[in-house]
Amino acid sequence: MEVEKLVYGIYPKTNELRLHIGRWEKEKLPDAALNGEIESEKRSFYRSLDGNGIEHTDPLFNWYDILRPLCLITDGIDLGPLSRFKETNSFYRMPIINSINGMAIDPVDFSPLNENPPLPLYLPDREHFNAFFPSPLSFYKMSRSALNYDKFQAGIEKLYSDILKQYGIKKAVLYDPIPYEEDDVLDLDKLSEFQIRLVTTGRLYTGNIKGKIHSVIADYTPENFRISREKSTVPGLKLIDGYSTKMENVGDIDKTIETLDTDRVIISHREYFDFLPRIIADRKIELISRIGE
Amino acid sequence: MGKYLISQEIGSFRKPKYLSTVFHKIYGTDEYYKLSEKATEETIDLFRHAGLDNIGVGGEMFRWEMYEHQANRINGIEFYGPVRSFDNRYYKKGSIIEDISIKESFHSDELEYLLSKDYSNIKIPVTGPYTMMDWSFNEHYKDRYETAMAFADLLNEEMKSLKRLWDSKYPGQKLEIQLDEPATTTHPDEMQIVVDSLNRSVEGIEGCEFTIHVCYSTDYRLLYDVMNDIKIDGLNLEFANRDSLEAGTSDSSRPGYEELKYFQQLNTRKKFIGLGVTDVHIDYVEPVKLIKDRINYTLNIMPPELVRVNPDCGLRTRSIEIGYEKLKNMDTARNEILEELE
Repeated sequence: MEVEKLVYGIYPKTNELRLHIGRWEKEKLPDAALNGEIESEKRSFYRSLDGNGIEHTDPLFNWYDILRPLCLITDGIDLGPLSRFKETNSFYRMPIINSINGMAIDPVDFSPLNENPPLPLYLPDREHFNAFFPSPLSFYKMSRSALNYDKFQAGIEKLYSDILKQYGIKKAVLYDPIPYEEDDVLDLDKLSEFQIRLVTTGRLYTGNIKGKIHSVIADYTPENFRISREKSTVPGLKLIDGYSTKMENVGDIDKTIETLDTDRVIISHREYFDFLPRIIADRKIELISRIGE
Repeated sequence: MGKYLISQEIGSFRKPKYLSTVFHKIYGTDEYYKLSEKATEETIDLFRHAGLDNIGVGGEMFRWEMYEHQANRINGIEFYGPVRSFDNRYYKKGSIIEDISIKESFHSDELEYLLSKDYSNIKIPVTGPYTMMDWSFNEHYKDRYETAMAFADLLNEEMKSLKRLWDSKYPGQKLEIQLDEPATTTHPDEMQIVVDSLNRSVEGIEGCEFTIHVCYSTDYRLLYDVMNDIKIDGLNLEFANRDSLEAGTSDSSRPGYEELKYFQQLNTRKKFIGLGVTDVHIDYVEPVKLIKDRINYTLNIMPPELVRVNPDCGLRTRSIEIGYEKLKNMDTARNEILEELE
C-alpha cells in the first residue's frame, strides 16, 4: 500500500523564537528582524522534514491563530474578542465578518501587521509544500458574520484561490477544527483547480462534502473512512494524537493501515501540533516519518 | 467581619517587581521565602487599607501560577515544555506519566506564615481537581474521570493537612477554602465529573467553609444546574466582565447579572454568591455608583446574607495601583449599601 504522510497547521515554536517574539511585542525587535528570525526557523523546520517525503504546510510560526492573518489581510473582516478555541485552554481572536472585498494587504511580501507578527503569509518550500487555510465552514462557525454562509463561502474561497495563484501554489490543506452537523455542506468548487487535502474533525455525514476532492482526512471510524473513500481520490485518516504527549506505537498504526481496503492512504494527526510542547511535537514527526516504512 | 456583603478578594494580586523578576530563579530558597513573605505582608496592608473583610492569602505571593504551583509539588507529573495559550503567552502543562502523589504540601508554607502573623480572616485558594485534570496531559490513567478522581484524592489529603495546621492555631474556628475551577463548564457533558471530583476532594473534612471560584464560563447554567449536588457553601463568580458599564439597576443595564435569577430559582440549599463586581481585564476603575448598581440589582434577586462582593478574578492582571483603586471603590460601594440597608 502507498502511504502518504501529512503534517499541517501551526507548529510549536522553539524557545528562542518565543523570546524573539516577546522582544518584538515589547518593541525591542523591529518587524524586519523578527521576520528574519521566523524565516530562519521555518527553513530549519523544512530541513527537519527533508528526505522523508512528508507532505506539509508552512509551520505558521507568524500566525497567532489559524484565522488572524487572513482576517488582517482581508478587506471587510475585523478582529473581535478573545475567544476559547473549542474546549481547550487556548484562545483566538474571533473574526467579525462584515463583507469580503478581496485583499487589503499583499500576503506574499514582507509587511508588518497590527496584533500579529509580520507577513508574508507563507514561506513556500519544495515539492511537498501545501498552503494552509481554515476551511470555510469552521471559519464561519468561529466568527460573527453579517453575511449568510453561502455568500461567505463564495467570498472566502475566491480569496483563497487568489492567494494560491499569487503564490503559484498548487496544493492546499483546508482544516476544519469544528465537527460537522448533519446539514453542513462544504462546496469547494471554486478551488477545484487546486489539489485540496481537507482535514476534518469528528463524525462525517455523507452530505457534508459536495463533489470529490483530492483527500478527506478524517478521524478513524469505519463510517468516516467509507465517506472519505467516497469523497476522495486518496482517502485519509488521522491516527496521531496532537492533544496527547503519549507516543503512539508505529507497529499498531501500521497494523491499522494494513486493514484498510485501499491502495493509497494519507495518514495525519488529530489537531495541529501547537497544543503540544515542542519536544513532543518533534518526536511525533519522527514517529510519523517511520509509518509505513 | 459583618454578616452581610462580606468583601473578599479572589486570589492573585500583582507581585512587586522585586519578587516577580527573580521568582523562578530563587524558587524554594531562603530568599524566595523572605521575598514572598515581604510581598504578602505589603499586599495584606494594601487589602486592609482598601477595606477588605477577607484578605485571602495576601495575593498568592508564594505562587507563580495556579496550575504550575500545584503540579510542581506532585509526583508522577512530568513537564516537557511550555504550551501556548494565546498570542505569545504560554503555560506549563504537565503530563501525568504514573500514579500521582503529593511530593510536598501545596500551601502549608503559605498558611504557616499567615498563622505566624495571627491572621484569621483568610481564605485559601486551592486549584480544584477538575481543572488540574483538564489542564494536564494524561498518559497514565484510564480516562478523564479516573484522572480527576486521582487529583481529588490528593486535594483531600492536602486540605486535611491544611485544616490540621489551622486547628493548631484556631481550634473550633472555620477555615475558608476556595476551590479554583475555571475549567468547570468547558466540557458540558462532563458536569458529573466536576460534581464527583469536588465532592471527593472535600469528603470527611469538617469545620471548613468550601467555595468554588469559576470565571469566564460560556454557560454558568451548567454549574447552577448541579450546584445543589456539590458539597460547597458558596460560589465566587465573575460577572462584571459580561456586564455593561452603564449605570442603572434594570435588566437591560445589568446584562451580566441577569442569570442570577436562574441561580436563585435553583438555590434551594441557600448557597451564597461571591459577586464579581469589578472587571480584572480592564484598567477602567468602575465608579462607586456602577458597583452599587451591580450589588443593588443582585439584592433585588437574593437576600444580602447570601451575597459577598469581590473582583471577578485575581487582580494580578492589573497594576498594583489600579488593583487597589478597584478594591477601594468596591469597599466604598459595599459600605454605602450597608448603611442604606440599615
